[in-house]
Amino acid sequence: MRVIYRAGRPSRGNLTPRPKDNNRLSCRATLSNPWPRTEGVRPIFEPGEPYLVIDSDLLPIESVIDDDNPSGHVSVVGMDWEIILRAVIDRGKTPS
Amino acid sequence: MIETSHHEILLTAAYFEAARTQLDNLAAKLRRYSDVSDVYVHFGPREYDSGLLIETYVEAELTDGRALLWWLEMRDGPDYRVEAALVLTDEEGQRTLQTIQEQEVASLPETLRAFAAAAESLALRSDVSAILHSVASAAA
Repeated sequence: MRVIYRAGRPSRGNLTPRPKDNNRLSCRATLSNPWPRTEGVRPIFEPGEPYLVIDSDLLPIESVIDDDNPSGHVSVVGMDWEIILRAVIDRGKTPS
Repeated sequence: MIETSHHEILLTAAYFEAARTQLDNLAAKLRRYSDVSDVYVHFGPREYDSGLLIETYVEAELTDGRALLWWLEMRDGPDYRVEAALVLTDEEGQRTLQTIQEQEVASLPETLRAFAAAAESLALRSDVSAILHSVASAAA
């Protein structure tokens, strides 16, 4: 099993790419923020905030792309939010 | 097999129904805002590797591409817990605007009461214009 992570809660809006995201849902290969930080951009995983653990093996192989831009970035492409929701195997909170 | 008393079943049904009604009323109010393009309501259990959660939310898609989320969850025992929050989703992801309730609770009846009370608190925060105004003020 290979897990990927996404910040936030398992709501429809959080599992649906925003209009500017070209149908790609941003995830991370590890529970870590990109480094170096981009000035003026919020960290992805903020202290005390929830995150999702997604079993990427439960998604079609072609939908999970390690684009590594920025480092550690994984895109889930072209998947309906309910399919991604079924692959969410756990939730957690980053330490405060 | 889990032994559940008649009383606990009734209590659970009553408090869930109370919470559901609050969230349905909230959704109906949100649909009247011109800033809101779509409203989605969810109420259901999810089994995770770490345990059972009752997850419920009302999510309003905004006409500008963002979304507001009224989130409420209840964790099953033995570590009963209720959390409620108002959350914004934008192009940078999702972030909590306000934690309405974050409470560890000792028993199922207490948890159910806290769950229904949190739903009521969330439903009171239906003023989308005021929420967006406070988001804009915080960003300025």
